Amino acid sequence: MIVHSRFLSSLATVQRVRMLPVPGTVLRRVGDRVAAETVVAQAEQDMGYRLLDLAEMLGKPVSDARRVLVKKRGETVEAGEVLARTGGLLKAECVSPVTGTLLDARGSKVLVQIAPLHIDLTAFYPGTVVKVIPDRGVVIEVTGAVIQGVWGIGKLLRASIQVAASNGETPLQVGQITLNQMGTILLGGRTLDRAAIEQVVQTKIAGVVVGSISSELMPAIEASSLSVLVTDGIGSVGMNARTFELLRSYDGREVCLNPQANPPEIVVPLPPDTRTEGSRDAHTLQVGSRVRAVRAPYQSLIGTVVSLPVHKRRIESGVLVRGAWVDLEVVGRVFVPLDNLEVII
Amino acid sequence: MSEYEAQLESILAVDCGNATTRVALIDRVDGQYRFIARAESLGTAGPPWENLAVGVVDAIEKLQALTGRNFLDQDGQLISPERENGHGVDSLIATSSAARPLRVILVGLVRDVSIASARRAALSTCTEIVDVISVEQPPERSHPRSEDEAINAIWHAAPDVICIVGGTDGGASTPLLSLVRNVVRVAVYLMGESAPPVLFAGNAQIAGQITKMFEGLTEVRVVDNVRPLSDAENIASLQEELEVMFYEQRMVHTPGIGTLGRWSRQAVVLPTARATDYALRFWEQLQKTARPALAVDVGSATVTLNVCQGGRALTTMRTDLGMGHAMRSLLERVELNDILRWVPFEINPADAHDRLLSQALYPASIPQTHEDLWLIQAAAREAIRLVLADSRPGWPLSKTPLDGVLPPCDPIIGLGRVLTCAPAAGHAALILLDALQPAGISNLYLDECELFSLLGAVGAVEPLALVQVLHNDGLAFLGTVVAPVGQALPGEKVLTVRSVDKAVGIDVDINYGEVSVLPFHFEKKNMLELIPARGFDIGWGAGKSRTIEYRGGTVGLIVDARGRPLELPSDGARRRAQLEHWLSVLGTVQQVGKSG
Repeated sequence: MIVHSRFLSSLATVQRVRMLPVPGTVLRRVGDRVAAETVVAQAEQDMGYRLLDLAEMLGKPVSDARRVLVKKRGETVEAGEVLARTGGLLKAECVSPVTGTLLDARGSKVLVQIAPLHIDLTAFYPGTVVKVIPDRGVVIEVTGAVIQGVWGIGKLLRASIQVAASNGETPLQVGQITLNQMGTILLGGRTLDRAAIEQVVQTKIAGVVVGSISSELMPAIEASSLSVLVTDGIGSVGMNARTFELLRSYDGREVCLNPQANPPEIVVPLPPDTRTEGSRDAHTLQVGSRVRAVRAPYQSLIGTVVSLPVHKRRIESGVLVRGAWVDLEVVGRVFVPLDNLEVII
Repeated sequence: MSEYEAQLESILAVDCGNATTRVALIDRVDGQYRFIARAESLGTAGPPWENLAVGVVDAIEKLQALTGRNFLDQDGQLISPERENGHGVDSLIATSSAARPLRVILVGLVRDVSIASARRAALSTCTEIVDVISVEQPPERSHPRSEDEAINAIWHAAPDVICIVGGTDGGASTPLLSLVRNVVRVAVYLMGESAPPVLFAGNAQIAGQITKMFEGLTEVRVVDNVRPLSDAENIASLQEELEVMFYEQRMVHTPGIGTLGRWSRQAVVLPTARATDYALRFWEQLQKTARPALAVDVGSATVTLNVCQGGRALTTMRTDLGMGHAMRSLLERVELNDILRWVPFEINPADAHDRLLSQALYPASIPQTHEDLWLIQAAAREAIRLVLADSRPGWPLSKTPLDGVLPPCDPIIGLGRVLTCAPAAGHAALILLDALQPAGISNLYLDECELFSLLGAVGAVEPLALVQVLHNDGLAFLGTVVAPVGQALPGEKVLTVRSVDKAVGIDVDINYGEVSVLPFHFEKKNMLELIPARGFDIGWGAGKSRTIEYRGGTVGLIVDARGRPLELPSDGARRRAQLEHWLSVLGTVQQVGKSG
């Protein structure tokens, strides 16, 4: 029986895809050992075009843009550089709003191709290249601790993790955020409020890991440069004890935070030669499976499956469902719908 | 019996959704096709599986355990045709709603006319309208878009298709040609090899000029004008082409769909909404009712409303509304207060928002608390209302005896987990009544076994199986609903329900403002006389009575005398008490939690 699963593992070997957003050149081969900062692929990303109306920009009629342009077709122009100029009694000039290449000019319109963005795709995960995806990227095998969350935002980060909260149940307080944490990833507790977000941004903390976040605060986080990993849910849900303890054990270590992965995750890399247990069937549920409940009233609690009854049963909300009897930490033996469980790897 | 019929004894019907994969076994019992068993698994189109077949195999394995029959061999391949020992199946039929929507940009002149028609056509299949480019000022902007902005908007949206509409056949063409030449053509030119195809459904007389404009740049497909005359709409041709494009660009690229295609008797996997459409058309043909047949499917990533009347059908699918994957976009499109007005307990809006959004993190999860259940049911009401609002202007026969309200429908079928998993059948009925607010006399059904869309696909291969399973096992009949329309004060009598046969002894008065259930369950059909009060209309004119044949349903005869449109008390406490009362009337309600 397949079921959703989540890595909360101190030692696992996983494969992670690193892909360019557009086709480019792959620089590494299968078997290559790569460090986090190794560039594995490169590309030039097209950034689009701007159609500029010189008549509007100069504030006077322009019948043929070519007569007033100071640049020729095919030439590059820098943002802020003079693009067109008129002489005569009422002299006027305008500057290019973008850096790019002048493609065409007709009537009063000028088409500028915005300068492409050069992309150096780094390995991010230190490990071994196990597959090359032609023109797009590589698959890297990495060994280490893998902790997956449920929601993430922001850019990929490689930084030291610093424990700020004493446990996963209490919210991150403003007073727990200090200047010496600048550039690090903070291990918060249950959640963080608006004041804590402001303090984190002011202190130039690079990333935060918390149990949950209120949906009200998501826009503020999305508007900031902060990278955030939420481990357990939306609202005010404590960070499950296993995740908190696991992350706490890496206090001060450099970790890879990827809030853009699906699911978002933290990987704490170990040397590539580190041996791990053989692969396991990650997505099956059986008696003895370690599981986490994902919905209230047991959200984020961890336990062990003790039986998988065949027949459906009515739960608190009145819905008739198939489920499992689970020995959950703190609350004891409870019946949880199968769809509300995920296997912990 | 033909050789073909003799071969097709057993059918495995498979539906791959975003949150759930379902399989159902249909087999012949005593010469009739019957539903035997069903099983489900997770939807596996997304990570970590990214393969529809994983969920299908898991669900089939569960079905094997339930039935004691093997459908897969040791290599995990489908056993087909059915063996003499009962293992295997003769046919596998597959549907899927797990493909990503086709990204469409609409280009046209007038938002309320040709673009509105194009939008209806686009909503009939699995599309996401990513932008609308018109000569008018967009409603969300303070000024019209410049050509530069419009070109960049198309470029950045990276659509799968650019759909151009506008102008009546033979009508003015200059504004549209200018828009296409100065904006669309430039954007397509700049996109180079990645330029999407252009679909033209505008003024037929300029189709040649449009085609020529994109020569050497991209493919142009020309279909019938969606507005051949200013007062005539013809979206069928555009609908069909968008469906083809969705299939070509999206369905066939869904991971794992190849396996299903190889196993499937049709060799293709049908979009779930299309299968529902087929099933509804069959139903409408069989019933030969003059009333529109309606099915509403509230899914995780889409909400779809199918309507069929007089052999003409319309599908309206919103890929930005749903109870799981699309919950975040639903919350961006619906005012939270509009959802919370349907919740029978007090809750802090921020808490409610958090709880609803949690459903997006775990789309397949089941609400375990009362609060979570009522919230998701409230969200379903608003999602259905939005889809209905999109659908209504395009209904085949929009003129109804009762102006301004939803006409009587037969049937109204509820599909989707939020309805089928409701703790009481009456709750599913109440969600449908609150959201659709039908007037007059309608019959409510629930797709309890989640078979309806599957049967639509089965019907394409074996119509007899569709007919027989629908008749024997297909849908749960919740009951007939009578909704008198008129104005009265709360407590005033609006309808009398009386049995024609005096021996049955039914004589009940229904008052305005109430929803009532008359839990009649008869061994045989009985005649009931429905007598509206003066000024009240049940579909045959104000004050006109009607006699109906009635046997009963899971819920019973429902009289919805709450008025149309339904207005909820503005006072929060009164509204919550009212909602709780209605819930208790329609089904056994357990203690509603208080929070916030």
